Order: sequence, then structure tokens, then C-alpha cells
Amino acid sequence: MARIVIDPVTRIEGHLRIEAQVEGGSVTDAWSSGTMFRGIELILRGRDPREAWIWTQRICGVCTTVHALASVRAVEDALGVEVPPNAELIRNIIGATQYVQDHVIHFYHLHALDWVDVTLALKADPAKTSQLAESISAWPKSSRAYFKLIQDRVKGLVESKQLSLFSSGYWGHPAYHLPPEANLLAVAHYIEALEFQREFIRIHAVLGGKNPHLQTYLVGGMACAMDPNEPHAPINPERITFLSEIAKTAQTFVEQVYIPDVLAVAGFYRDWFGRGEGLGNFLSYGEYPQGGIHDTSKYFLPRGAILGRDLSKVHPVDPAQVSEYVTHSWYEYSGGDSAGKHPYEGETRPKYTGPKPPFEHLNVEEKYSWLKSPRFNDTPMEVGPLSRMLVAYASGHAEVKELVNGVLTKLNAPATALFSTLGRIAARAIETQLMARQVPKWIDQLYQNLAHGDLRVHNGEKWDPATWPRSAQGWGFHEAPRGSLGHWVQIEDRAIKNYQCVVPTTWNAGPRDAKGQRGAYEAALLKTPIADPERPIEILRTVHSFDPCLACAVH
Amino acid sequence: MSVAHSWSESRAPYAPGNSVRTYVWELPVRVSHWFIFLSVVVLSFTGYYMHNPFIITRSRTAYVMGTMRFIHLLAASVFICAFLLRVYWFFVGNEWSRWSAFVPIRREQWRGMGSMVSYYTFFRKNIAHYVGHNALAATTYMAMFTLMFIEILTGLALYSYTVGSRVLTFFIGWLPRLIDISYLRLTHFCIMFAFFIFVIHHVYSAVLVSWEERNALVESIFTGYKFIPEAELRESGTTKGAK
Amino acid sequence: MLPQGQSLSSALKARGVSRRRFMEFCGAMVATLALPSRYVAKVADALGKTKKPVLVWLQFQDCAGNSESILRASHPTVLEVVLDLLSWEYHEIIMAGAGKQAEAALQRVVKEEKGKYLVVVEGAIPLADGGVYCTVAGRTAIDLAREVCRNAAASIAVGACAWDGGLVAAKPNPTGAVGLEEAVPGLTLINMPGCPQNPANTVAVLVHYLTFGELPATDQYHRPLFAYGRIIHDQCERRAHYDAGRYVEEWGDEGHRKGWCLYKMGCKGPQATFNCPNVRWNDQTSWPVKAGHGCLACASHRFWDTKSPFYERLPQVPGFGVDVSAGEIGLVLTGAVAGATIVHGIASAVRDRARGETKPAEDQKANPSEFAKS
Ligand code: HEM
Ligand code: HEM
Ligand code: NFV
Ligand code: SF4
Ligand code: SF4
Ligand code: F3S
Ligand SMILES: [Mg+2]
Repeated sequence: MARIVIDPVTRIEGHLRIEAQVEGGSVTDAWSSGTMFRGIELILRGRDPREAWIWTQRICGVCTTVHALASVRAVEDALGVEVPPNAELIRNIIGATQYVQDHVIHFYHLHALDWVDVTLALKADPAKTSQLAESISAWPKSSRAYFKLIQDRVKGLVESKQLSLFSSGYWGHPAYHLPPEANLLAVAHYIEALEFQREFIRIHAVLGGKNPHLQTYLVGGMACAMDPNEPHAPINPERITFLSEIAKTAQTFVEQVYIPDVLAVAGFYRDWFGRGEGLGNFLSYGEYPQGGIHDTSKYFLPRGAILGRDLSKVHPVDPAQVSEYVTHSWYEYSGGDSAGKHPYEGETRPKYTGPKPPFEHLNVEEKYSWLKSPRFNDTPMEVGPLSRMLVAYASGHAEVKELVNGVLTKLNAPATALFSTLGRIAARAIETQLMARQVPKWIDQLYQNLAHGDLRVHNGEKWDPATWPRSAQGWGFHEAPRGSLGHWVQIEDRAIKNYQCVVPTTWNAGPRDAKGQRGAYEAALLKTPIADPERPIEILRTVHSFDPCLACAVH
Repeated sequence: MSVAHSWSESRAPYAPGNSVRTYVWELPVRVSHWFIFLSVVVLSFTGYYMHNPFIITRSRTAYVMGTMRFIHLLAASVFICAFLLRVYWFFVGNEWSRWSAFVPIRREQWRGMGSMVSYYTFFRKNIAHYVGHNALAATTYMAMFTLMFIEILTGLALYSYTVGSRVLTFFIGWLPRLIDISYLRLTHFCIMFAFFIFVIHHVYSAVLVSWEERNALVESIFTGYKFIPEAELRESGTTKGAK
Repeated sequence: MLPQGQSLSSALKARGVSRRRFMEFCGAMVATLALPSRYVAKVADALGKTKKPVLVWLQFQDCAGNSESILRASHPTVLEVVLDLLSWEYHEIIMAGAGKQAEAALQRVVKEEKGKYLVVVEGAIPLADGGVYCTVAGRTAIDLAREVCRNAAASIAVGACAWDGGLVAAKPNPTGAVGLEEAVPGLTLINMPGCPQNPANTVAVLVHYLTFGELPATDQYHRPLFAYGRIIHDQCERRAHYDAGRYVEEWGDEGHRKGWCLYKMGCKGPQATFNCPNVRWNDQTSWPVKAGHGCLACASHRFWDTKSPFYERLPQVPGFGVDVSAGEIGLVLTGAVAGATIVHGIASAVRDRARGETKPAEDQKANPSEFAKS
């Protein structure tokens, strides 16, 4: 019986520590801990609510923009501001772009090396690799010569004995199953994906001024003014053309590279359809309003919850059902740590009671993480692309159904196979394809409005704080790439009185609650087989399948 | 001994008869005073525009902000020169314009302030008489000179920041390093209101005192001459400037 | 000094690339972001002859925005930097190894590359309560920073947080966060502020260091002058509108659609230095002002507190609420004094009546001491 510790968990955002109990070659219990706290909720107090988004956006630079959007929505909700259709569209384009960007980087640069052994690429035959590539996709970069070039680059790297980022991987681990050709192909696409994300994100540069940390949100709309005839208007026909060109390349890349790669990898690791299952409860706030934030029926992705793996029923979701526990978190609540608090009553009172650094192990019987434990009607939930796709699938979203069924038939797996580590990977890929299709449509709608003279990007009714009530409170949400994000703001005398963020990775990576119910990671790791406790790659596979972001989770 | 010709005289129910026409404000004092006044008016107007550009232009050729900043800096140079002249005169001027007349270092100056305060607050029926400044005025003036100095420092700091001139940075560069530029701006802006407040009280009290002392005070800042009753002059133990 | 720094710069000199020309090129490179690929090639093959210098990237109280930012580097690309120019041995967000293996990789560099490697630090370092607010592998950020930075040839602090604590150190700084310079004094260090840092500048600094074995010239905050030496306002494409007096008055108004100056919307360009408007972001695509929103002065010292509220032109007057501006306070005070003066005037007139006539001589006898004795 051994206690495995992975700290730092790498190829994620932030500071995550996993402790796992391993008996008889598989995980019998696991604890997920976030080891960094900044206190942004406290730093926000007393500041101008109109600029809260600028601050909250810095919660994370990987899923940049998402906390900005949740924040402006929260303040808009508190003040009763409706944003003009153009602002809604621009926000949707930015959000969908972030999905594609974030998911592609996750698969190739954060997750792939759990399945791909870079060193094996040296053993590959470029010609065979070229055949493999052409057999799975029409992607042009597939010549023998091209793969030879890539292989030489890897060779050079290995011979220099300076493997750089790849120096400390679990190379040669028995859990790697890909044939050399597939490895070489993956390495090539690892490099191409790096180029892709750099180009694609220029959509954010146009609409947000820069990425990371876009700078054009406003309470009441967006700061990208539009004008059909002004060369210096932030949005004009010429820039829209630029946007749609980039958007098209994304669609091609996702359909010809990302999706085929996922299918190929999944094909070689089928047993992971049966692993990392987790809670079986899935939550989605729904996202991409297309007729005002209040008309949830017009959201592009539906709101709802699935409980106990029952895809036949989608439960309604109300933010009032959310609460956070600190029973096992390094905080204290007035009125005791055993009761949960709704974010409007939420408190952030750090109180570290863990071991004095440097330490070997956490005291998992007591408090052991900087994450709180969010619960939905006191039930732990999983959030993220899988939750969104399942909720959409179960609510009969035509396009999602088509894509999901497509993938399932290709892998001839049942829908229930989605409750797994590979399921998360597949759902993320499907969502990427879905959104890559959607971005050009929204860009086109924006163009139509521009052409028809609807130039409104901001609703200024409530810009002047003098028009505000003495006190107000609101909820802002966003389905961020990693899942359901909520910001709760309370405003008094035109300043922030209390601000609480309940974040996707807080849901997924949170510790146990007062009842001892595990969080999503902790539950998903149970029964994970461990071939070599010194190199626990299997744990990384399941944890990475959630795409952890700890800066978000703790903030 | 000539008889005073001052509007405050005209209402006088009795003539101080033997008031002595005394030369109190030498030319440099008067000159610096009025140049300071004029430049402050200009600096405040242009400065306020820089703070909050209230003139909206649409024309292609407009250069409003540019002009305002230019005038501000022009007026600033005048302001600085006038200020320096006055400071120089602190050390070479007559007894009423020397620095010692402005810094309350002697006991009777503090007592004098007390009685001025009680006069302003209606605790004293009658005003105390002085040849130069009354002690209270003198101290406020000193305070103003200090604010002028701070305004000049912060102004120069802002200037050095915008023009990035090496020379200027050499002399004033230490300030923005010490205090963040946005707080220098804030200080620079707020002191403007201190000037507004000062002027209101300053002009009012000048008129009030003229009225009370019937000493042609207001005129004095133009002509340099005040009218002082012989007795006072004798008491104050000086006849300098008396003609 | 890197051993290969010598060989390389002489290699470049041999090709007639003087240090001065190289600096100009660096300037040009960040100004236009167009790094002639032959330079990468030169630098690369010059380095290829010897062992590539090692770089480790530490993340503490960060948002990873600076890591993401470096992924967007375009000339040279992150891949060229990571694989060809350097050996990027440790960077949690993207490195292959994890847990024990990652720790070992870092320890190897600290021991075997002692005094030769570069370290990049991202994020603030919490000093309160023994540093428990940020631990990696059970060790505190400050503990790691001391060990890794003190053994490095040079340290590069990227982003506002690593420079001066950034957002994490904004009031009330709940974790006692500070920047690297304050946490570990006495390092050979360069600061690359910004929120996040602009990869064009950071890559330029790396290339410069690789070529000449030393860091470029810096200002009093240890920021490279080529990137942080000029005011945003003076490089801004909207400057003509500022001088003319054409301002955005309301979001989405005519001025906003025409790209007029954002001064009245709180733009901090006049109070901030950075090369944002020239280098721009994401392959020179845009920058915040071009996109329609004011600058936040994100590369200025302690900007989260000194430059906010971001929609006001000037900072808050200490002791007043977020919604009270200095102008309002000033005008109210001035008004009050004016009012008081009028009242006082009336009162004096009344007194003047009530008092009747008294010979000054008499009441002077009452208290002679009040004659100015000067
Ligand atoms: C009584 C004297 C003065 C007054 C009332 C005054 C007033 C002002 C005001 C209100 C501003 C705008 C502040 C803001 O909101 O940004 C300003 C800016 C400025 N003042 Fe003055 N000022 C005075 C003297 C000076 C002096 C002596 C200098 C010396 C050079 C100076 C140089 C500047 C500069 C450079 C700026 C910044 C302009 C810019 O934004 O580019 N000022 N002043
Ligand atoms: C920015 C505006 C002004 C400033 C900063 C200012 C400042 C001063 C100062 C420092 C003195 C002391 C004389 C010296 O020793 O230098 C003084 C005296 C005087 N000023 Fe002004 N002044 C201003 C405007 C005015 C105006 C508009 C008047 C118009 C009546 C005025 C009337 C006088 C008079 C009568 C005296 C002599 C009073 C006495 O002996 O206490 N001042 N002023
Ligand atoms: N969890 C998380 Fe984020 C996302 N997606 C936040 O809302 O990653 Ni930085
Ligand atoms: S937009 Fe900002 S930086 Fe540009 S000119 Fe106006 S104030 Fe200066
Ligand atoms: S515009 Fe200002 S806030 Fe924005 S990135 Fe540039 S310097 Fe930072
Ligand atoms: S990018 Fe992130 S790390 Fe700090 S400097 Fe900005 S918040
Ligand atoms: Mg929270």
C-alpha cells in the first residue's frame, strides 16, 4: 500500500497536487489539492464595479476573457442593463474562438504527451506515416518528405542530448500504445497546432486589442465601435473580412487535423472508454445567447443538469441551488465550516492549517486545499465540454446529436462510453468542431448588422454610477472552455461590497464536502490502474482529461 | 504729510488727519504679484481644459488641446519667473516684504494671528492695525508661496515626463521616481482649487481691511503706498518709507 | 556571462554585425516585429556549435498569461526559441515531465548548470504567513525563487506580478505578495512588465542575451529601455485627435466610431510608457486603443492601484469613495468658501453699523501689543 504524490502536476494551468492511495496496482482513494491562493475576491472589494472585469480577467491568462465576460454579465444583471445585439454577437465570437483555441492547445500541448511517446517517433518510417496520414485525413501536409523533416528535427533534438521541454517525460512507459508512425504524425501536428493557435487567436486581437487579456469589454456592451465607412473604426467591413478568413482556416484545421487525430488516438486506447468515469452528474449553465441573456431558450448551448448518468432526463438549473463548502478547504466561515454558503452569503477568509512547508504529505483528514467545494443542491457535479455536450445531446440539440453520433459510430462505442476519460477528450473535440462551424456564422451576422446600419455596441443607460440604486446584486455566468463559471457581485454605494467566483475547475478539482462527498477528480481517479507507481502516467491521463486550471479554481 | 485720496476715505466719518503715506510694497513686489495673478488665471483656465476638455471640436484643422498645452506652458514660465523674482525679494526687500515678515517666528506674530482670527470670527469688535501684512495674512501668503512652489515642481515633473527632455529629467526626474506620476497630476490638479479658495478670501479680506483701516490697502498693491496713522507708525517704531 | 555568448557575438561580428547594429536591429525587431529569419539562423547555428544555454521558467502566484503570451511569439516563434535557441528544461504549464521527474529536472539544472542558466519568473511571490499561499512540491515560492534565481546567470521577471506583485499585491494584498526583485534582492535581473508581457519584447531580450551574453540597457526599474522608454500617448495613432480636441464622449458615439481620442474615457496612455502602440500584439495585429478601449498603463509601476479607477482620468483622492472625483471635491470646496465669504461680508457690514464710531486711537490703547513691532 503506497501513497503516490504528484506535485507539480504539469501540462495544466496552475498549481495542482494529487495524492493517491494505491493498493494492488490501482487507485483506492485520491485527494485533489490546489496549492496557490491570491485572494482576488478580497482585492475587488471597494472598487468600481464597471472595471471589475479588468481585474477578474486576470484570474486566468489561459482561459482569458472568460472571467471578464462573467463579470460584466454579473454587473449588468445587478443594474438591469441589456446589451445591444452587436455586443452579444461580438461576445459570442470571442467566446467561441476561445473554445477552439483552448481546446486545440489542450489536446496537442497539454494532453497529447500522455498518449504520444515523442522518442518513438524516431523509429517511424516517414513513408508509412505519410500513408497513415492520408488514410485518415485530406490534410495537405502529409508528404513523406514533410514527415522526414519533422523526424530529423526530433533526431537533432535527441542527439543534442538537450530535449528541452521533452527532457523529463515518461518515455518508454508500457502504457504507451501508439505505433511509431502515429507518434511521428502526432509530433508533426503538435508543431502545426502551435502555429495554428498563434494565427487563429488574431481574431481576439482584432476584437479585444490583445490576447491574453482582451481589453474591450464594457458593462453594457463592448468597446469595439462599428462603422461601415470608417477606416479607423475598430470594426469595419475590411476587418470583418479578415476575421472570417481566419475563422475558415480554423474549421479546416479542426476537421482535417484535430478530429482525425482524436479518433486515431482513441482507436489505440479503447480501454480508456471504461476508465476515469467519475461522478456521473453533469452541469451546464448554457451559453451563447441569441436573443438577450434572459431568453435561455434561444441559447446556442442549452442549460441543464444530468444526474446519475440518466441521459433521459435534463433537470432545470437555477443559480440559487449553488453553494460552496470549506470543510476541507483552508478557509473559515462565520457560523462554522460544516455548512455550505450560497455565493451571496459567500465569504473568503483564508486560514491555512496545512503542514508547515517544506512538507511531504497533506493532512487529508482535515483541510487540504485552497479550492472550496461547490455543490448543486448539495450534489457534486462535473462541468466542462462533456457536460455541455451531454446536456445538449440529452435535450435533443440536432447539430450536437449529429456530431456525437458520428464520432460514436466511427469508434463503434455506445453513448455511455462518453462517461470516461476518453469521453471527455471526444466531447471536447466535438465541441471544438461545433464552435469552429459557428464562429463564421456569427461573424456573418455581425457583418449583416453592420451593412444594415445597426451600429450599436454599447448601452449607456447605466454607465453613470449616479443612475444606480444604493445597493444591488447580480449573477453573471459563462460556460467557459472548462465548464460552468459563475460570478456573484454585490454593489453598495457604487462600490463592490462582496464578490464571489465559483469556477469550473473549482467544481471539478474541489476537495470533499461536509458529507465527505468527493470532488470530480477524486471520484474519477478511483480504480485507475497504476503500472508503475514511480511514473503514474495513468493518473495524469484522467486528470488532464478535465483540462485543469488551478489559477481559475482558487483565484 | 499729504491727505490720503482713497475711496475708503470718502466714507470716512472722520479724517485720520495725520495719516502718513508710507511706501510699503516696492516695485518687484507689485510686479511679481500681478504677473503671478495673471499667469494663475491663464494656467487655471488652460489647466482645467487639459483636465477635462470641455470644448468639443470637429474641424480637421483644430488644434485646441495643443494650443491649450502650449499656452499653459507659456504662462507657466511667466509664473515661474514672477515667483523667482518674489523669492529673491524675500532677501533684499524692505522689512515688510522680507521673508521674516511671513514666517510666524515671534510671539507677537502669533498673538497678532490670534487677534485677527478673533476679529474675523466676530469675537473682536475692531481690527488690529499693521503697517505691513497682518500676521494672519502673512502666514497664509507664506502658505501660498509654498503651494506655488509645489505646483511648479509637479508641473515641471509632468512636463519632463511628456517631453522626455534629458535636462529637465536631470533636474526633476527624481520626483516621478519618488511619487507616481498619476499622484503628481492629482496634486497638481488639486492645488488649483487651493488657489481659487485663496483668491476669494484674499480679495475679500483686502477690501475688508481697506475699509476698516481706511489705509488704501487695495490701492497699495498697485501704488505701493499705504496710509498709516502717525501714532501707529510711531508705535511700530519705524519711519522708513514715510514721505 | 554565457561561455557561448563570446563565440556567438564574435561569430556575428565576423559577419559584420556590430553590437550597435544589433541593438538597432533589436529595436527595429520590436518596432516592426520583423526579425529577419537569417538572424535566427545565425544565432541558432552559432549556438548549435556549442551546447544550447538552458532556460527554466518558474510560475508562482500567476495567471499563466505570460506563458500563453510567449506561445504567441511570432518572430522568432516560440518553437524556434524553445527548441533551436535554448534548451527550455522546466516550464510547468507545457513540459512533458511531472511530479518527481519535474522536480528532478529543475534540480539537475540548478546543480549542473549552476551560474550558466537563465530563469524566467512569472507571477508574484507571497511572503505573508511563511509563504504558505504558494507551494510547489511542498516548497514555498520564496524558497524555490531563492534557490533557483540565485544560482542562475540572469533572471527575467515577466508580467506585472513578477515585477512588483501586480494584481496580487494590489490593496489590501491579502497574501503579502511582492515581485521577484523585492523577494530575492541582488540578482542580475531584468523586468518585463505588462499584463501580460509582450512576447516581442521578451524574445528580443533573450536573443540579445544569447548574442552578447548580457542583458540590454534598462531604466531605474530595470526595464529594457527599448521597450519601456517612451510614453504610449506619444506613439498612439489617435494622438492627432487628442491635440485637435476630438474626443470620444460616450461609448459607441461618432467619435468612437471614427477612432477619436479616448482621453475622456480614462485612457492612461499619457501616463504610461510601453511600446504597445508600435509592437502591438499577436503578430502586430492590434492593441487595446486601436480596438477601441483606453490603455490601463499595464506596464507602469503598481498600476493596479496607481492607475485605477480605470475609467477616471486621475486616481482617487485618498479617503473618498470610488465615485467621488477630485474635480467634484475641489468645486464643492471652492463654492463653500465663496458662500462663506458672502455671509461674512454681510455680517461685517452689520457689525460696522452696530459698532458705531470709535477712534482707532482708543481701542489701540486697549491692547497696544497688537501694533506690529517689526
Ligand atoms: C497655478 C499654477 C498652475 C495651475 C493652476 C495648473 C493647473 C493644471 C491643471 C488643472 C492641469 C491638468 C491636470 C490633469 O488633470 O491632468 C495641469 C496640467 C499640467 N500643468 Fe499645470 N498648472 C499650474 C502650473 C503649472 C506649472 C508651473 C507648470 C510647469 C511646467 C505646469 C505644467 C503642467 C503640465 C506639463 C501639465 C500636463 C499637461 C499634459 O497632460 O500634457 N503647470 N496644470
Ligand atoms: C492668484 C491670485 C493672487 C495671488 C496668488 C496673490 C498673492 C498675494 C501675495 C502673496 C501677497 C502678499 C504681497 C507680497 O508680499 O508678495 C498679496 C498681497 C495683496 N494682494 Fe494679492 N494675490 C492674488 C490676487 C489678488 C487680487 C485679484 C487682488 C485684487 C484686489 C489682490 C490684492 C492684493 C492686495 C491688496 C495685497 C496687499 C494686502 C496685504 O498687505 O496683505 N491680490 N497677494
Ligand atoms: N476553470 C477554469 Fe478557467 C476556464 N475555462 C475559467 O473560468 O481556466 Ni483558466
Ligand atoms: S487614445 Fe490615449 S494614448 Fe491615444 S492619444 Fe488619446 S489619450 Fe493618448
Ligand atoms: S494598452 Fe496599456 S494596458 Fe493595454 S497592453 Fe498596452 S500598456 Fe497595457
Ligand atoms: S498576465 Fe497574469 S501573471 Fe500577472 S502580470 Fe498579468 S496577471
Ligand atoms: Mg470563489
